[in-house]
Amino acid sequence: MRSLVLNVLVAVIWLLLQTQPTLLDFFVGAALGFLLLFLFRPVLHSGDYVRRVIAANVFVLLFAWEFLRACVQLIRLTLFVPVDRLRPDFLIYDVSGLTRLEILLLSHCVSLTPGTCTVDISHDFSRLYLHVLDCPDPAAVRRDIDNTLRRGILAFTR
Amino acid sequence: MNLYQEQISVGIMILGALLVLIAMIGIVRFPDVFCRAHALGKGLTLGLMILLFGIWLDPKTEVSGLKVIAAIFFQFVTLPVASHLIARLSYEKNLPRARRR
Repeated sequence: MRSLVLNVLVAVIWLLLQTQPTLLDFFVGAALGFLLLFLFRPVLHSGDYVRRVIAANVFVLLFAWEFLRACVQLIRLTLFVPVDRLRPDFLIYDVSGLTRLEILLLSHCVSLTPGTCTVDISHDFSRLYLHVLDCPDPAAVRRDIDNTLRRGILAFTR
Repeated sequence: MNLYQEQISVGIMILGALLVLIAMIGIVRFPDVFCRAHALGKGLTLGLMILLFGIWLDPKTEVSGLKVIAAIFFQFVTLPVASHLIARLSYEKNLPRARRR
């Protein structure tokens, strides 16, 4: 928390040093502040913050790639695959170990990644009901979510 | 840079419009409500994001950067929720769905 305040403070100071402050300058300042926190992490005890920010950025890139892949798949299924060939199905995904915030992030991201869409959650917040557009193999879909989204989200929330 | 900026922005906007069109074709073509929610959630989100990005690049439109970024952000946050709500409502109402063959 202290590291985040420091980072924003450096960004604002950088913004005040400019004659014509723009939005880009704020991001440049934030990046410079992050660099400082990275260099002085033994003194400022900001190692955890640095790790989380890097993990979050990696996750954003990974998610953007998954999102593009989802759209390519959607275009392929819409235009080039006959409707009878689709195998839509429901799937139960286990989220029992996660906090509410992580479940929220996961379900939002699941709605945007290839072939899956969040439908419902069980009352005790332990199972997500997903709908899969083309599902020949449910285990492969679960493994895919485990390896990309779940791992990426847990890397920066914990 | 400035010479081709307008052409580039128009090209990007056409790309976004095409994606929205494909999402709409998907909504008409897919067999049941859940599959249609897929087309809505993914195709429309990326389509509108690309469209707004094209507007941002257009030199003739007077919009500041932050406004378009906010618009893109809210599209990104709200559209998947809309598709989830449609899917959830039809799940609760037990609407007919295409079975696995």
